Amino acid sequence: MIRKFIRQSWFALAAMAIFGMSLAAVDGQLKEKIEGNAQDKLNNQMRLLLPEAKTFNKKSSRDAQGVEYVYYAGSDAAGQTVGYVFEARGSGFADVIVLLVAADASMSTLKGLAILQTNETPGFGDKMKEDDFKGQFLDCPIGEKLTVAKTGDRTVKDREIVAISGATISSEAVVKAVNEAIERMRGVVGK
Amino acid sequence: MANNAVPKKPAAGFFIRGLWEESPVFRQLIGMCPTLAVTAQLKPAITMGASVIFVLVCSNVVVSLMRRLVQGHLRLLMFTMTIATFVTIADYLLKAYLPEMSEKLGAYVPLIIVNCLIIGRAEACANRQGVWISFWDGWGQGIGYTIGLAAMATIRELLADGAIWGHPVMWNGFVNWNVMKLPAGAFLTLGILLGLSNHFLRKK
Repeated sequence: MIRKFIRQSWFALAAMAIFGMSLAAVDGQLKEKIEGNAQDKLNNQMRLLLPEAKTFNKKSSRDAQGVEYVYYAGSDAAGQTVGYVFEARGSGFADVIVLLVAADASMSTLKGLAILQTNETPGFGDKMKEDDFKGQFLDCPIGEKLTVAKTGDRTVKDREIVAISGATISSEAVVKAVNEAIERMRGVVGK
Repeated sequence: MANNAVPKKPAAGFFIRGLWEESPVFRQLIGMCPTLAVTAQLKPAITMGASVIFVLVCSNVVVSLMRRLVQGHLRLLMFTMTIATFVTIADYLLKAYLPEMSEKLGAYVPLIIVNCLIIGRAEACANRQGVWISFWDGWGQGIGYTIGLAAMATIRELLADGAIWGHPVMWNGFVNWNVMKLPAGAFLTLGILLGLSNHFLRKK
């Protein structure tokens, strides 16, 4: 009985072992490069958001529920903190939206927004990547929560974010994610 | 002695047929999912085509090498395992050396595992023919597939972005046909291309 089983499956099992080992080898070789790429991408984004910062220090903290998350404190040549960069996440229309938010050291204005990951509809929610929408987050005051409006002046730097026409859900998802991330950061840095 | 029907250079035959006469996109209508999904722009389309060629050639060769050892009822399992290994290697390579393309293609690279073209060629060709023929069949079908993807992507990117490979090409006043970026545009383009290729292929 066992012999019949082995006769039928020895090749499949041997192939599994060989394929598994080759995958492990490739993974071992390329893992560093892949992680390096992800970190490079993050660093580039952060440098674009906070140009005054010379170095970024990775910090981690736990929030009230004990969930750990990571954020970056940007410091200039003198070692002074010039701002914070942190991740914001939310459910968009199609999929999860992941953003990078930059705020100044006193957590009173936003220094900008970078879109890391989004799968929204092209021509609608996807337009969040354009400066028209994204640029509203630059220099906007965050003393209180940001709100979404259907129409308005995009060039006025206030708490009101004008939604993308025809993409209310995506726009609201972005603002909600940003608000939640700011809340969380305030809890961490105590500002 | 009757005229032997076997051609003198069978491998070349397999290669050339894959390019047009038995084109995966226009004739076999196989592997349609990436054909519709990643052809919004030329660069991701070519990247996807290159990945498919890599997986197809490697898997054809390996399947052909092991064709006498694989038990009949286990062959689907063995094919899938082989294909999955090479797709994972291709995925790692993309993530390491072409990270923006890897992001752009997203889930469609792992989905090459279930691309009917690859497992179809494994069953129809690699499982029955020698290594040399399987190798060239892989290249022919792979390049034919890439040609199909490139045709779709050129049209779609031209109309949706006014560009080719990211370089603006259309005149200044051109209004982008946004629909070409969406699935509807993909189906439209494919339908028209299929109609045209049927017309020319049938003339034989």
